Amino acid sequence: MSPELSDIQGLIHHHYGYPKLRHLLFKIGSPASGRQLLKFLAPRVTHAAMNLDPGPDVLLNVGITFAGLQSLKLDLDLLACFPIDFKEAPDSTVMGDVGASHPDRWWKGFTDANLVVHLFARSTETLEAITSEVREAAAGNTEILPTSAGGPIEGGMLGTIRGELHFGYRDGISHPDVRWSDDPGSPGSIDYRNFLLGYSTPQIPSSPKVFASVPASARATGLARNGSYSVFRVLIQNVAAFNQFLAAEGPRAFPELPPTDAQELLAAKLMGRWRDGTPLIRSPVAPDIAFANDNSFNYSQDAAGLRCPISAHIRVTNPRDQALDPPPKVIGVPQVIRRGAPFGTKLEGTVDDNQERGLAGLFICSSITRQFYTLMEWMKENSFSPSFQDPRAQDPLANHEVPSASKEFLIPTESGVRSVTLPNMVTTRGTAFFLLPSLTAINRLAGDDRI
Amino acid sequence: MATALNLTLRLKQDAATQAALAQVKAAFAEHIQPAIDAALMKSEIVHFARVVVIDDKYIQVLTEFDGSKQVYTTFFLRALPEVFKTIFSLAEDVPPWEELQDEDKFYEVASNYNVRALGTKEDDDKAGYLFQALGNTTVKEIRAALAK
Repeated sequence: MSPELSDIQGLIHHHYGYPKLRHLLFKIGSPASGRQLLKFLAPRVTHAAMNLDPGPDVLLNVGITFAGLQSLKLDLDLLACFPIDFKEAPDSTVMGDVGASHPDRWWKGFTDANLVVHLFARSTETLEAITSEVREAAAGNTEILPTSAGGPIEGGMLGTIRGELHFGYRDGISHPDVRWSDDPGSPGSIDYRNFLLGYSTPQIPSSPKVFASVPASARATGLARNGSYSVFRVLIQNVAAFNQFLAAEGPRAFPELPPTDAQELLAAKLMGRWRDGTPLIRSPVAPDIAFANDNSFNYSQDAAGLRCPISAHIRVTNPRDQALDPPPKVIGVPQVIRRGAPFGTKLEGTVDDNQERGLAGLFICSSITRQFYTLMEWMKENSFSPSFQDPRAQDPLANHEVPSASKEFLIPTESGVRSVTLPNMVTTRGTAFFLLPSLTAINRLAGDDRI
Repeated sequence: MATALNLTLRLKQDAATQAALAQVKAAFAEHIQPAIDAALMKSEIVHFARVVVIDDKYIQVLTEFDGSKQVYTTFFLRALPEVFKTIFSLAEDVPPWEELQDEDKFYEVASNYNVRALGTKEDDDKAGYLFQALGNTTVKEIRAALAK
């Protein structure tokens, strides 16, 4: 079996790489106005079978929350078939969103949004043009302008380096190799059922699913089929604080190196890659352009973390062949498809300009609990593998206010374990769970027939 | 810190269910308890667990464990399916076992019937008060310390 690519929203299937992004958030005003907007959007949704080489000037995708589905007045028995993690508000405890990252301090109005239109454009002109069209079609619904400046969430390239993020790292090097059919696929490829709904199996369960005892479950599963859950998450990154941290702690952690090299090595140890993308596993002493896009490495030859610290970000979020705790604690490595881009202007140096900047990302999966929440738990406290010396260690690039987690980042070296104290450099400003419906589902939601 | 589950189900009051309940009570120590013991000991994430019946009107599974609620609930389902099938068969207003065998549905039902304790918990907005003499020490850490 192969899911029909023309029915799947394009950003689930592949990365677009367009330079301009805008995420328009709406609160549906009424079933009629919500359907009117969806009617406008439906023929414009980018699907996975579209040729993007070259592609149109604008790409568009749509997500809707559970509250959004409720606002369309769908059948209550059908709505009940969706899983509890999608129905409920994002769990701030699981995500480690405490203190400055607590939902009480998220961008105003963010949690009211129940429909998102993701826009991707080649130019500012085309982005503005499609934005105006969408806003006109959204009459009767309320646009949420959540940023502190009172505008929509935008994104795009920071400079000339594709994938560059605010802390200077390069994103987009490693993505799950998804097997989009039931053919064998390449070694290590991941079953599409981990990302697409409507194909639940005992080995890869997802919801909704069909139960003989629940008549509405077949309709719910049909509605969800070829869709995905998308966790839309906005993080503020304090670049000045990050650079201050590198400047102060780099030379202290690596006094044997020139200060600039010490800072770069510390940055690399936090991520697990040098800022140009070179994996530490491949080249622990300096970046090597030959390896800048390398994703074919494992950690079994670095059990002690001498090359790549065990709590480094990429090692926590994808431990590859590292030993994991046995079930029930750990059942496999949770995989998510990541899409996203930085927002805000680029800042260099250690002096803050009080401008908001960060990352707006989508984490796409077929189970928010088994995939996204599990990753958040792993980042919050690295207690999923016997490899960790400190089970309270945390991902150094997440927010660091979880009370039970250690603030010390351990860097094993040949001469002993060094450690740096992590400041809080990342703050959550919003999280929402969207369903990225199939094109069939979008058309049905836009229609007048009661679902 | 550890997490508490206070699963509380209303028992059906018909004669057949009450007779089945009486059998469960009679058989618990010899036939059900050992299975729970073995599974929980092996898990290395459970601090405490007990099953309580109140006036033959309610049955509770009270337990404290480390880590994710979702992981623990799924563990219960996978490690002790017959125990939970028995418990849920006695309860009112729960889906049939065919549905409950699904991880997502089981977690949802367990969450819906999890009664919150009074008070608040520092690290969990959704949870009530839970006193822990050993702070946030895990089962694994306690066992490792005792083994030294």
